[in-house]
Amino acid sequence: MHFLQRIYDEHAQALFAFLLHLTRNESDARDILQEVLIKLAREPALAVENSNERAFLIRIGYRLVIDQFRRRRAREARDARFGGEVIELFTPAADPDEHAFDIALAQALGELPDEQRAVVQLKLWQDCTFEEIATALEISPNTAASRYRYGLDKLRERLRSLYESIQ
Amino acid sequence: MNPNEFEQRLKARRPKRIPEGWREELLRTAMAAGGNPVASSQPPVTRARWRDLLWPCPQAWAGLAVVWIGLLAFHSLRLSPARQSEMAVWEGGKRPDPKVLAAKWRELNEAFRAPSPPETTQGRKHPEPKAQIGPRLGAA
Repeated sequence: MHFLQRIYDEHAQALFAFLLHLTRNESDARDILQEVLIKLAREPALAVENSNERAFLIRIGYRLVIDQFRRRRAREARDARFGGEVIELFTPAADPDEHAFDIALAQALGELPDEQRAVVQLKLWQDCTFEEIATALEISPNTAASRYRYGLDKLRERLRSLYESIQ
Repeated sequence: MNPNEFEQRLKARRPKRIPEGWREELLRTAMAAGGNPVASSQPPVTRARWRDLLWPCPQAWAGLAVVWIGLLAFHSLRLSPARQSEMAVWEGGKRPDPKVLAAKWRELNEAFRAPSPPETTQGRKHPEPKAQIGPRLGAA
């Protein structure tokens, strides 16, 4: 099996979820995933020299997303697009209440700053520790923890009424 | 709202699955691109290290480079007053004639190569015994 196939099978799902949360656009997430794979295909040593493959891949993906954001630079336009857009970040739930919560959560996530969204995604849905998040995003564990707390507080405030109504 | 409960509820969400059909296409494209790696004399590991070093803020590094280039340019253009006057003399047509310079150079060379003038105290090289000098002095 080609090493890229193995990497894809082991990490593509997690990386895709992370990229989708950050870019909030499936097409962008796919482009960046493709770019990550091309980088690895061109420089296999990159993967070999990193003991924590998942963190390494997330780091590359994160850098590429930040690059993309910088290139576009139209932050206001992007925020405006994120604000009103309903994007599917989660596997659709059968229960309508849960589905409504998923949609509201996706919208609330879109309102978080990119840095907080990245940490929240890795902590909640990839079960990363703050040390792993710190390694992947090239920040300190304390920064990762505080970004997570801030992000979670914002989500809690934003979703409070809906959450309490479906309890 | 219990914070832990809220956190657990969020954790229970299942992230969207990656579309099934992507695998083949993404891998095919990546492998095709990887077949023609960018030619470079640097080993990949070294390049990766450089990238890791410069990544945190490429704009800052570029800005620093621009500042250094600016300083170098400023330094090379800015001359001291002494150097400026020297340049003015050379540029003002007072440049010494090469023939004159060559003649001076020859004179200096000859002066250094010429045999040393006869010493006035040459006699002292072979001093006469005092016994012989004495009678002569007395005769004088």
